[in-house]
Amino acid sequence: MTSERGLLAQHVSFSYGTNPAVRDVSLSLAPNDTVALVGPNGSGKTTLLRLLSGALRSGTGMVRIDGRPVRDSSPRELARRIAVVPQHVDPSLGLTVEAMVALGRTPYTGMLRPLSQADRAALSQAMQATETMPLRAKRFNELSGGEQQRVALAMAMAQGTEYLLLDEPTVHLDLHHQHAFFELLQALRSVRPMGILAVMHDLNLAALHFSTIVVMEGGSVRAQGEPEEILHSPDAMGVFRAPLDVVSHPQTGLPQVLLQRGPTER
Amino acid sequence: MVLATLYGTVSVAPGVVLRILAYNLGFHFIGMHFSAIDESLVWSIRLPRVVAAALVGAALGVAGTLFQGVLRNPLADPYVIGTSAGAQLGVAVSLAVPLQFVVLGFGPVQAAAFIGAVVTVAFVYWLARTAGRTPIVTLLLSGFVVSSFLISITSFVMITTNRVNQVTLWTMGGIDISRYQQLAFTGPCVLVGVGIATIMAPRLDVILLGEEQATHLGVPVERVKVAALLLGSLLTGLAVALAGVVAFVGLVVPHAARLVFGPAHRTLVPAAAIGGAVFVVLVDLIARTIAAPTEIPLGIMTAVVGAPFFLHLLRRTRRTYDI
Repeated sequence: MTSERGLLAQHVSFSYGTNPAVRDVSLSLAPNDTVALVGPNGSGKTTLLRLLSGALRSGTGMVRIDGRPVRDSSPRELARRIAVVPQHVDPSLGLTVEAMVALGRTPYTGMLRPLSQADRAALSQAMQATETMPLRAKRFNELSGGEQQRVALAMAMAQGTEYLLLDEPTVHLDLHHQHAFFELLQALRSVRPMGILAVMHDLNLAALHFSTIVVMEGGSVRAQGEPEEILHSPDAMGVFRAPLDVVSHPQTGLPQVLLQRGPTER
Repeated sequence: MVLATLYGTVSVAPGVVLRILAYNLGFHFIGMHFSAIDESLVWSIRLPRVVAAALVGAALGVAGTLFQGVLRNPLADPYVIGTSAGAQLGVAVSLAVPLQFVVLGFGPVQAAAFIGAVVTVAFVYWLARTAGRTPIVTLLLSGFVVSSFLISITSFVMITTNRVNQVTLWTMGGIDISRYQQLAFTGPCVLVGVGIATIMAPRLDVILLGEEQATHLGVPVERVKVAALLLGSLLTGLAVALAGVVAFVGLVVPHAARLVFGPAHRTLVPAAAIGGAVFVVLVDLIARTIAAPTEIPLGIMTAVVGAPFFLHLLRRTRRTYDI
């Protein structure tokens, strides 16, 4: 069990002060698997993500990465295995795109050891894969929201990790950029296999792009399984407290949810 | 710097100044075609002052860059977490206590200013630390409250000991240098400090992304923060010991450098050091010549000269701008 490959949470709990945010959660992200974490506001999704990434190290239970407890790993070791794309990076940063993506190599460089040949290769590969190469001389604060999110992804790719965690990566983006972002993510996985876990607000995007959906409510996991199973489960969908219809996606046959009209249940 | 040594309250012909500088730098073939008075004026009074001004500017420029970067706050300056208030209290107390000593060329007032500044920052940091972390807002608030508290105490000490004028004049800043020994100590310290800040530059860039994201990139944020705050405070302490509380330099020089060179610390730190040095040397030159033979306190002139220049830069750039 402990030598199992993957990012593994076992009976993890965490409280902010006396407010429990995550209660006894167990889940696993296998290498090259994709997991979407969904649930209503305040259900503990982001806290769970921070526990998985090692940003939060207190609390009970155990998070292991390929068998090794995250708690025992230095930030530098962790940063070589897990990359995190935040909801958004401060949009007013004036660094150039190239300098930003280069920050992704931080876990491999030292203060007296600047970028090596291998680092530069990883950088240009990350920029090419995310199509940010043409932007490299621009300043980050001159980019559109979609471009900024692509740069954040490029930075994470430059980290060269096996696991990628994303916190609602497309929540600030329009439809075009939402579509482009997830297609890009798929393309990147075919270049380099990665285990991807994303906190998602949009159930339909989650169903289209992830093989497993984990539903959280009140800090606990309410249900987990394939999109087909989860979106059709009245119990799992009940956490959203909204009247829903489930239909089939015309192109892929995957389940998609539609909101019904009518008064909101209290 | 050569330019600044050419001018002063007493005029010495430029040719003579250059000859004095060259002769004292070892070019003896030039010959001693100058009077001993001129030599002592240029070599023993004016030059050390110019060098001190450059050191003060470089120290404050880099300290400001470090504080702004690590606190991610555009209004942060080297005094924001208590250095100036601590230094002032140190000065007020040292004037009240009849104690005489000389350390590395510095008298009790300057030593007290340095110690006051560094001890206050250490105290503020200790106050703001909770569970192994120092949240930025807590740090800024602690700095503000401790500063206010220390300023009140300083006022009390000043009034009860009748030293209001002396302390206030010191607060306005002015380069007070009387021995080369002072420079022999502070010079290398400031240069080493600037060097360390330049080496830290890549880590400071990562912290611009936010502390959590910096952690995700493998940076031990708390350690970098402590190192930057400590280094910034020591540099500020040195500047305060040399020149009192010189306002404006540490706030605006880093911003000016950022507007010109961008926010990457690898270029920003050296740019702020050089920019600060040039700025303070020029302002000090103006401060001691404009109303000669009266000297205007340096701290007053920095804002008078610097503010219009900075506003011009800000308007000309017109870029949405942040740290």
